[in-house]
Amino acid sequence: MPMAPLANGAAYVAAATLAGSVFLFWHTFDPIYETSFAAAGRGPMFFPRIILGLMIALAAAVTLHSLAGDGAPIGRRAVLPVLIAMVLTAAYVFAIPKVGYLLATLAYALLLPPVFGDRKPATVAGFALCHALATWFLFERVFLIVLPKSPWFVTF
Amino acid sequence: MEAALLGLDLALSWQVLLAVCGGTALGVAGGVLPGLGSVVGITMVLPFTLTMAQIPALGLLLGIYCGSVYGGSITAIVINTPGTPQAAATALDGYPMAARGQADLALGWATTASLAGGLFSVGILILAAPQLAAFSLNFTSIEYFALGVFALICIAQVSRGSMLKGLLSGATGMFVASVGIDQVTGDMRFTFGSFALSAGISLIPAVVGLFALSEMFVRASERHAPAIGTDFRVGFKVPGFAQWRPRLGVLFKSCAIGSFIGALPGTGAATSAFISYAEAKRSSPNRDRIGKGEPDGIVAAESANNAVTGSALVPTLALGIPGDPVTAVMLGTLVVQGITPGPRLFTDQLDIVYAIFFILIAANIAMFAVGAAGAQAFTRVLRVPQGLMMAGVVIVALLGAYAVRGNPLDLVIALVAGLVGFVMRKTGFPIAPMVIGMVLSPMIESSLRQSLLLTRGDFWAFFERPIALGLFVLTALVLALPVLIAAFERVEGARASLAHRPESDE
Repeated sequence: MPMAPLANGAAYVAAATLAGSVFLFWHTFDPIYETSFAAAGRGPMFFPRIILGLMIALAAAVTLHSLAGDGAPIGRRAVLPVLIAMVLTAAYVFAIPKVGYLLATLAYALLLPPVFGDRKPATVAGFALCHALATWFLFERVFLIVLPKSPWFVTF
Repeated sequence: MEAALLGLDLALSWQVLLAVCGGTALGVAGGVLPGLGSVVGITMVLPFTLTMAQIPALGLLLGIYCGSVYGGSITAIVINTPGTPQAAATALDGYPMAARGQADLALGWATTASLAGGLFSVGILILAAPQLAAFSLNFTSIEYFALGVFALICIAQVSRGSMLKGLLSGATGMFVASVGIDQVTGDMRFTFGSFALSAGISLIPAVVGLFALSEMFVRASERHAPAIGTDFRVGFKVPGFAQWRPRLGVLFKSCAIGSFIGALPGTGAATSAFISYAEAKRSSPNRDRIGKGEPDGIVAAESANNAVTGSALVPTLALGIPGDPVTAVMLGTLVVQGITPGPRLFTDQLDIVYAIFFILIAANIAMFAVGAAGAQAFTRVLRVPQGLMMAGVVIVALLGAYAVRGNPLDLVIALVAGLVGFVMRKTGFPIAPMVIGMVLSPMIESSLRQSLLLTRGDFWAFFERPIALGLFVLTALVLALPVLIAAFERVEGARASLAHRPESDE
């Protein structure tokens, strides 16, 4: 069996979905759901079991189809920028509740543009400051939507 | 009549008109930028709508919707880079006209045809939506179940990529929507002890991730793509009635095609533009020149893609069933605003329905004005450096994901959805069925469970109701269509090879 078709991204995605679906289908038989099954006839897992059954069948079909060479391979271009963008966005998402919206946004707006090749420091700094302050002021002060605050300052 | 006057009064306030104009301008700017478009545009303004009154918020959303469908045509004509997929057919004749030095006239054709298509589809919406809503009052949960399944299968079928991938994407969306509290028994499903997940995975953060974040990741992975040239000047010139008269047939036919296709689940503006363009190429008196800078091509594509805007709202408003991701997000934001689409909307809140009709008319007129006055200005949006633009879009979109419930978990959901969306796009899985699956899942589940209670668990009783039976037959046909087409092509291929076999072989 040649290994070349395994380089197919769609096959990996479908196989991962298949594994996840099988696990979740097995989980639907957890005794925790049995009480409700006895009380309400069809129980809470009636519909998810149908959906997960469909997902198992479809994921298996897509895996087989993709292994036969019908899928699109994952491109290897510019892996580093996309990884940096993902790490920065993940850090931003987890930083918002910890250091507050304003500081987290300021840092994110400063660090993300260089990933796309925008490296003029004055432009990027000006954009980061204006965008973070403008969105914070608009939502916190004008629209009165409470945004997460930092532990060090009272207002932001 | 009283409701219509009340709706007109609601729609004509200065706040609503300001929101419509602002939304249309933002929508055109979003449409101009390749890769953004209607869904990202609507999710970006979502946090703004949370603090707005119902009708101005509707004005902003509908303005963005209409503006973004039109906006893609500007870059399609001027630099041969469609801002949205629905404007791809416009580039086929728009760019050759621009290359001949007639960019101003091409923009005039596109904008006027967009206005005509948009207004035509509002007419269809006004005529068809109340009728469909009245008809759907006869529906029981069985018909709603059949309708939900039919809509989902259609969307998976016509999505980009293979049908299997579309169906898997739709099923995954349905599963994601089942996480959280079961509405019937009150049990926690798939929360694995996490209290934060008990409220479920809401639509808006998922859409922000699947569309806005994944777009940013895709751009980061392709940042070595050649930069779009931005050194150009464009004007605006409306074609006279003498130029329009021989093209009224193409215009009317394209409006009708766009309106019909727009009302079908899963098709959308890009499909209607290409079908209409192909029809113009087949039947237009100027068909020999189409593809070489002929206004008929622009008229066909632009009137058809804008004719989708109103008719796509027919099933969304009348049945509460969205036809594409744009109307799915719109449905979610309407619910956030306290408006529940469906037949009861037409009986309980008829003034709001009329307000939506009038707002759509205003949005189309605003789209024409914005296009006529600002075509040159909107092309300048392309000069914003990509990094600054993506940072700006992602920050506002994430703010939208957070602001709906004020729950930091929604930011994590958006991030995970962004990573999933990126992988799906890179491996050829369509995103749209997943969003539609998330929207339709609660409706399909509750109607299935209600139906089984009605029929005392007898699934075969579903087929005894004529409308449901018709919908199930249609669903089966849609599923069987690729197999039938493949079989037909095999038979035709075999026939052709037999016909071309040399006589010596016989």
